[in-house]
Amino acid sequence: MVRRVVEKDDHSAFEQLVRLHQSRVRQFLRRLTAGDLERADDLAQETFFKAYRHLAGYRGDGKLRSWLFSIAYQLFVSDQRRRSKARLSPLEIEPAAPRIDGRQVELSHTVESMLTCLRSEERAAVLMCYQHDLTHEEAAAALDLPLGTLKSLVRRARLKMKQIYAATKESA
Amino acid sequence: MSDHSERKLAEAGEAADPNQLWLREMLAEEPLEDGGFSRDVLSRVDREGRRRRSTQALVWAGVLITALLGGAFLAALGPGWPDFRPTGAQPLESHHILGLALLSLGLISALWLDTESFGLEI
Repeated sequence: MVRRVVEKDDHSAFEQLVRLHQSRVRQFLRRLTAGDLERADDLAQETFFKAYRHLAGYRGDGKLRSWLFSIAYQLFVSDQRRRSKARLSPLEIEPAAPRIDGRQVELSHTVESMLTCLRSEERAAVLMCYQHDLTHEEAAAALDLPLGTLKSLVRRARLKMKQIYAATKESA
Repeated sequence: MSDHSERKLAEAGEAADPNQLWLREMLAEEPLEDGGFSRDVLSRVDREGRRRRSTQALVWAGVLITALLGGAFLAALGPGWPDFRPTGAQPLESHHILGLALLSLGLISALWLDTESFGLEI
């Protein structure tokens, strides 16, 4: 399908690619943006548009999905940086380590609020590995990180989430 | 409980569930409906494609016109234009060569021109 798009500029093949991957890319961005649906869909559209323009550069040595996640994450980071400069986003300050007290537990009832306790890199790594089933190697390549760094990022994120999850269960 | 003990407990839990099923289950979501998303992406691709082609065509048209006018002008400056005979009495002069080079550039530009934008067949 990729070959048909690159060699023949086949728009219907590209549409098939978008249909195939839109759900995962949009879900990934929705969770990265802490549930900002409009922003997530704008970034997802930008992701596919960028993918279309650079599809010839896709080497095909990994899953297309992880290549798309890599583009999506880069766009998210640039957008986040732009927003931080313009002081528009509530996510402009990286969240501090979660405090597991009663108030925090109340705020952590949803997965989204648990995810906002993580730094963007940690969030992206956890989503890639545990929601979208990328291997550590694929996630490391998508985030442009050394494998060891990715593994410790995932481990740290998992521990943070587990603490919140356990505290939530205790209080329920 | 101290941070250290909490960490130890969490690490013990990690070992008991190596596939992290709790996390996978918690993050699992139903697939999203397309809801016109792919159509929006495609129409953007089409729009940008048209815009790129028109810009490309304008650039090449500029190069073509400049080369044709420049070539004609330089060649017309020379003696004997347009009755010019490379093998005859009149020697080929440098301005002729420059003029011909520019004309060739014009023709090459025309061949490279995005015919789809102009609806031309070259």
